[in-house]
Amino acid sequence: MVTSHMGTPTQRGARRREWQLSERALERFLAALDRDRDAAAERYEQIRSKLLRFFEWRGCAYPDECADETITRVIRKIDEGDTIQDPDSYCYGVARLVLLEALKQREKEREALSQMPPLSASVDEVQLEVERRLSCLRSCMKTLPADQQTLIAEYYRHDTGQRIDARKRLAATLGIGLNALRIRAHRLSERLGSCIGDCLEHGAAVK
Amino acid sequence: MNRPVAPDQDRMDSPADEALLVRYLIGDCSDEERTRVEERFFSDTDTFDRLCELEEELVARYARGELRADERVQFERAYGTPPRRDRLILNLALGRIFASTPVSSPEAASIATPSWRRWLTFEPAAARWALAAAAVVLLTGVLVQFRQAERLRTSLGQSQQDAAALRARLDEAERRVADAERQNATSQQTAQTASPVIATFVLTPGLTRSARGPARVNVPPAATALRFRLTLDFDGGYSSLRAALRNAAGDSVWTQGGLQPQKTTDGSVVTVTIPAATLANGEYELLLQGVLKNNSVEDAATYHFTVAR
Repeated sequence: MVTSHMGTPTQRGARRREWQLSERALERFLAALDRDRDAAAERYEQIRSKLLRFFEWRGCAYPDECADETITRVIRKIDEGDTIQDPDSYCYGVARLVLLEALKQREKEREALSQMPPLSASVDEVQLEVERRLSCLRSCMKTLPADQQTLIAEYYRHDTGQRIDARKRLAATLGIGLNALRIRAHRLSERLGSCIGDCLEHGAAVK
Repeated sequence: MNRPVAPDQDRMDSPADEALLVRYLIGDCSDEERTRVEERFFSDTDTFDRLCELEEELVARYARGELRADERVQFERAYGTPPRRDRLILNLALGRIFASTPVSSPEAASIATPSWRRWLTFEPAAARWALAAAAVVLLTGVLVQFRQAERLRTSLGQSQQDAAALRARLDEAERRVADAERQNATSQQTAQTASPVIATFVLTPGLTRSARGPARVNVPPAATALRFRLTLDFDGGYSSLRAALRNAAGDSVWTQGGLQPQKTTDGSVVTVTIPAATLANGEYELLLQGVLKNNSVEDAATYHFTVAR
């Protein structure tokens, strides 16, 4: 069951009573994206990818939660009978509302944080953080299956000037679109990021 | 809310638009501009792709110190807090490990490509299916007559392929680690702009010639000293450590005692600094010895590297 992450507990409880995500609602949502099931799934991934970046670029602390909340609300709208002609733009509209709510909800937290010295992203400190992660990253890479290691290595292998063309070639070789490749790489880097977090927290290499 | 946005003519691919996309990324645009960018990338995947590419270029330029002062201030403000900061650091680490590694794309990509998908991309289609039909007939005959032998050969061939693939992957992984270490050292040495120039290298114990060869130490022409961070694979128990450097002939060229390990997030390390003039081209062995409480000495770790100028 997917439930809302936003709003007060009372609001969340009321929302749960009013509506719950069902298989039928999900099917309707996918059908609104595309009649073909595979194409709909790809479209869904694209929209979620855009939502994640949108919330990240707009300073949302938990982009994945906000993205999921947005999609849940859109599914609900469709389930309740709304007709959506342009799902991407519709999701953007809902995402803006979710962002406003998220920022409002976190206002007090932001005020408290503003009293603290801000985190710095100076070049030296960032490079130091990168150094700290290299060892963990190597260990975490070993936890991935060989084909996924290859994919992430190929994805990041080239210098930025050559990356775009190289990724297009990689996507063509794999027989997938560039966006699908990006989504796969994003998922893998998320997995690596989580693994690195565990590795740093426990101060030991990941087995 | 359900309204068409961003007409097709607004492609956002002019230089001015690209500048706007960059300003969007670093949070240096008006509400109106921000909405325009967002409407555009939600309705047009090409714009979204371009925005993602620009972000990677921006991060790379930042890491190379190529941003203008005002851009840098904005960038650091935008990327100073999680989750953007975390992704920035992860992307830089991934780039550090994999960027500019030796070319192996076709082979590497074919590893990741399912065999059925490679088959489906074989052109032309008529030849594809003709080959398929011929293969079926041929294989049927072979299987009837040599079923048992074929099974054994297949098993053997598969084992050999698995072993070869495993060896290739191992070689590739080791090459990546070596590249990352070299790149690490290179990036640190380029960061040393003031004199004296000290190039820093990371050495891992036990890297013998038979494993993947000694680590390669490229000494920058301006380097006055080389700093080695020696990663330790033991927990300690010594009152101190001493390091002894020998050349390929076995001659001792440098020693230092009284060393103490330091705890880092990557484990314990010992740092030694060796005058660059001490090192000529060639192979070296750095022996780390532990001094016990009764003042006796035992070998703790060995590091091999090759100096190239």
